[in-house]
Amino acid sequence: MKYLVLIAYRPGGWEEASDAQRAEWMDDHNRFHATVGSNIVAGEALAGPDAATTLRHKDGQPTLTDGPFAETAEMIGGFYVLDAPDLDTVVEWCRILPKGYSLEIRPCISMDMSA
Amino acid sequence: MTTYVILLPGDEDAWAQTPAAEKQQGYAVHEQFANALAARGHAIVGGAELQHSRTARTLRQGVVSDGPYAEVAEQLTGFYLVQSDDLDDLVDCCRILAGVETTIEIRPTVDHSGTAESTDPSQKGPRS
Repeated sequence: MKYLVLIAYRPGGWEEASDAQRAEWMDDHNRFHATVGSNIVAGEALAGPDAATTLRHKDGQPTLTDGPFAETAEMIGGFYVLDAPDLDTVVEWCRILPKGYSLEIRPCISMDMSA
Repeated sequence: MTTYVILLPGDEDAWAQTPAAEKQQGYAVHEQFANALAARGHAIVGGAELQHSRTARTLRQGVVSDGPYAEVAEQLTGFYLVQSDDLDDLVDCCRILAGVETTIEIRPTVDHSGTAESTDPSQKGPRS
């Protein structure tokens, strides 16, 4: 089963962190990679929400706006797609990631759109 | 080439109640979208449809709770990862999804291809 792990963070958190704090977060990611290994199907860091474009359709008419689809206290900063036997395994893996994140773990419907 | 994530937020309850035949029409539109991307030089490199957000678990400060990280009107229902050289044309292709996807967010990813761990989403940490 594939799971999407959404990495949500408080904007500004990275900028305000000390070098030591950043190094600790990097170590967390490295440990995550070492532990999860080839079960990481995909993962990307996203550019900031100001780089997003949102396309909405109202009554069939498209409207383009700058910015993310939802303005929330925590923004999506990146994600992983993980292959795991069950949700509990994913939760245990995610405990390795930096504590400052909010991590939403959601099962995918088994209909892979990738090539 | 930039890799873009295409986020598909929407009304999950409405989709859950959609009859199977109508869902098939929705999937057919996604197939048209995929075909158009391929024909116009964009490459789908990943993506998935997500299960309902009530099946999500959120890990915050080491504490696990049920449900999504944010209570918003439109929950994420799926996403694509697309490599493209032409954001404007990619946005144009997204218009094909009108009717089945009311809202589509297109966002560039941060390029880590020069690093050893190119699958790490936070090699340089999250940015705001």
